[in-house]
Amino acid sequence: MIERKEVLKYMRTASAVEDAALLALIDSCTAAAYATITPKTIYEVLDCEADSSGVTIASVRFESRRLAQNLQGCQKVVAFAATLGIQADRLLRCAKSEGTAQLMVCQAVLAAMIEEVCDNLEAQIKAEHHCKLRRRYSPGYFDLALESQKDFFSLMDITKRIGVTLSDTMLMIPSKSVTAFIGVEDED
Amino acid sequence: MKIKFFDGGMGSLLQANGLKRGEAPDRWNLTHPEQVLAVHNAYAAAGSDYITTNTFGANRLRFENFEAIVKAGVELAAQTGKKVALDLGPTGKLLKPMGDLDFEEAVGIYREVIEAGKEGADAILIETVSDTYEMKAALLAAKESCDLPIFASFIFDESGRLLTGADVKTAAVLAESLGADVIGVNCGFGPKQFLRLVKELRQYASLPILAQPNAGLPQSVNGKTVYNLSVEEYADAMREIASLGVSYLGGCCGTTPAHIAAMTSACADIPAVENDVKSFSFVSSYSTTVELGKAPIVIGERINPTGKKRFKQALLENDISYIINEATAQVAAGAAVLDVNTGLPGIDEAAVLTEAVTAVQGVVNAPLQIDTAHTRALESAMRRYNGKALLNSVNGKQSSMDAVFPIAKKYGAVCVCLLLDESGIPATATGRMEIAHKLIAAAQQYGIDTKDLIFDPLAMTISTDSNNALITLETLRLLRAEGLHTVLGVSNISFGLPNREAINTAFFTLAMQAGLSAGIINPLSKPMMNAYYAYNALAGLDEGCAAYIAGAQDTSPTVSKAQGDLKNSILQGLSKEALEQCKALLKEMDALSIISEYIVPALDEAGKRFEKKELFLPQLLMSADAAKLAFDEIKADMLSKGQQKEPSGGTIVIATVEGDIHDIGKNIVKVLLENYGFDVVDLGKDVKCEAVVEKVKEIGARLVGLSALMTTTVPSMEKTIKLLHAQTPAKVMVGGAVLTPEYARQIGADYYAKDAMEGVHIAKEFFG
Repeated sequence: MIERKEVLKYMRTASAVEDAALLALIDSCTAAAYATITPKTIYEVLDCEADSSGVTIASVRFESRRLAQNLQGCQKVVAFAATLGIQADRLLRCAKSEGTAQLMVCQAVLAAMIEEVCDNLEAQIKAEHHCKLRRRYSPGYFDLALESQKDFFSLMDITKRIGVTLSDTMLMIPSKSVTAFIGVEDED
Repeated sequence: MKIKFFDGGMGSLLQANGLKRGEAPDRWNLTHPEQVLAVHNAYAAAGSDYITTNTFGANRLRFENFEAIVKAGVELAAQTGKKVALDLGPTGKLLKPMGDLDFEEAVGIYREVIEAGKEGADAILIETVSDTYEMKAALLAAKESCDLPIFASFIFDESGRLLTGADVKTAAVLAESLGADVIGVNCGFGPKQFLRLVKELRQYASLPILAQPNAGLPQSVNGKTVYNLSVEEYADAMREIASLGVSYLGGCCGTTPAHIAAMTSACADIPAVENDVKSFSFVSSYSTTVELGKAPIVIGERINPTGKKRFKQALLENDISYIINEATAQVAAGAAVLDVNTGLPGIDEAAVLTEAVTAVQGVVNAPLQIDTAHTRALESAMRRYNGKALLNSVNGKQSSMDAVFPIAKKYGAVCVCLLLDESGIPATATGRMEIAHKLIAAAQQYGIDTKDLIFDPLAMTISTDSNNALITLETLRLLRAEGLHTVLGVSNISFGLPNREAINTAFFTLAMQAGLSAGIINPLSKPMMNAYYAYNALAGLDEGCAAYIAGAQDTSPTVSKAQGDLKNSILQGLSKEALEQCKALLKEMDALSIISEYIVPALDEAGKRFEKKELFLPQLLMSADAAKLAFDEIKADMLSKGQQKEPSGGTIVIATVEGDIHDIGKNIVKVLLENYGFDVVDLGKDVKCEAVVEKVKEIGARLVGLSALMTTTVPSMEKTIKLLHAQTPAKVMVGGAVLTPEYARQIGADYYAKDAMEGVHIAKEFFG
């Protein structure tokens, strides 16, 4: 369960704030989110080969020097996708009709929640594969073009498996979704 | 009758022959037809009666040459000599308003595929659909372009729901209401997990059943997906499914001709069992099914402009958020279904009703009752409705039945039948029953079952005839005695009388006692809801009085009450208190004084505290929201007194630029600007440059606010600014996390706002 201070952090608000109305709003949004949302995740451990200009992952090419640096020395990479699902977007629409403060708090709650889902998934991968993981790297970071989402999506069959779709402008819908590569290092 | 068998997986078999991971199998119909044919032939030899075309993703969103792919797919499947099922998978997009694909465009995408492939096909197989709305688009396309039998098959998750929220019952209600011939489940799981899904279909659906599970649960082994059931295990489990009573079986991901061969022989001695035809009266939304005829339900009546000046104003101003607020409030108060009526002279009702239905179904999960006397508006809204709607209404006039029943049949609905005809409303219960029987007979001629009719015996005010309530109640009893379901606009009974709530609550209770299935009432009326909960508790319809007790709770906010006056409430961000205090003040002083003495000083102080970092942004927003509620109340009050609203401080067009969906910043700016008296035209998020320019030209706006949060979308901000400057005299202010004053200058912005308050200062100075 996410904590109030995480939500406050996403609103760039001091964690020491003692505003009863605000805290009550955070609690009710958090409760609504946990009551209606079932996060979905998929991941796979794939072969990868980094060179100077990019990475080949399970025979699909991703051009990006920064991703290549990030994965330097890794033979395996985790490709994962996580989403809070379309219910999260419905909650946001509902919050928006309640007011802008509610919308902002709801955004922050869901941001904290998807982050928690990703963290938990990483912990699960580490435990299952007895490995160390590098930092997440997502399409759209630095020189890994947002367009590479297309290849990421077909590589992992994301739309069919967890229902995340890509808009014409390469944005993920449901909006609270994450795709990323994570370099795998063997445990010493 | 024997069970008919479909085939199994295609992609993994092609992958074994060189199809790359991530590569679409559909294209192989053209590039490697012999490989595709070999798989089809293997399934035909394994005992499949139906061969599914290799066209799961073949549509215009993925392939320019989809027509060639589809035609080749049908020809390859036909070469086996078996029946050909033209395969339609999901579009791969989510539909508006949640996603970016327009509903009619989705219908068009499916229609093109069916047009390309119907020649040579024996059936349409719509499969792996995880959204009822997309299924509706596909079913309409199929119904409108061919006469082939349609298999409608959904994919459910581990909780037994579609990704978009529908349970098995709700998905089945939608597919049946739109005229599918077979209801199915496929993919997602192995056969063991399917038992529960098939049982639910046996329980709630009436159509024959198709089940196509995967070869167990997927596991990743060395980067390859494998499924955990052996051929024998699969066949045994399929035998179990067959014994539940199905008409069609097949396989999905991970299944091979070996699985299908084992299945066909394992199930050879089990007969196909048609599903029982059920008599439930269901209405549904995207996620939820409501049954009529059990415990009475409440239909919320508030989305209706009749007698509501503020609502009319909202409709004329296209203020959809006002309608959404009415929707969420009624559902929170206990309404199971919401009536949506936007009938108002001088508006394009087809457009407005459709927009209202689309907006409301994007927020609440209650089914809707589409309420209009306008046939074109009815059809338009029914077409876009995501579920099986209540349709309000048809009556015994021939012209009404001729206009409404075809729409009800095509789009699937439960029709509200008003018991009146060409001669008016009969004065006796038996006279009204005659009209009911006429409606039943006419509906049958259109293929509409009596379970999809609900009868309104009509309540007329007792102020004109003291027997009116008795006639209505008697008609209710007669309808009920024939097993028919009933609905009533309850409050008509007291028209013209004082203290109407007293009559309404008593009549509502009597009507429920007489067998009322659904009361159209105002769920925000505490006495009416008290009567509703009390009746259910007394009638043994509320186990443990749970709903009654929940309904008796005080739902006012738990935070401490505001100290002092309206100004304080706004400063503390206490919306409900601010609203109450504003209402009280309106009785004592004029609207403009409330604004200048309470609201504006409160907002100014909140703004100053925010700038001094004594308040954080969410707190500033809570103040702004509280002020907005007070403003809305004042606006409604001025309207009801026939006063002009105060002059606008200026009109500002705002948008989050193309490619960006982070719109929280833009929304914050909007609410603050509105509080300071500016008219804000909000174009939303991910807005194309041309759309911004077009709107600015249309209304002659002088100031535009643009926001972008991602570095990747700043170029589209720059493009929008260039276009605006080239084609309009408007000035542009920009804001967003990635921008700096320098960056803003570089891309040509006239103003840079570091936060929302600064946006307000800029606007004040600009228009000042």
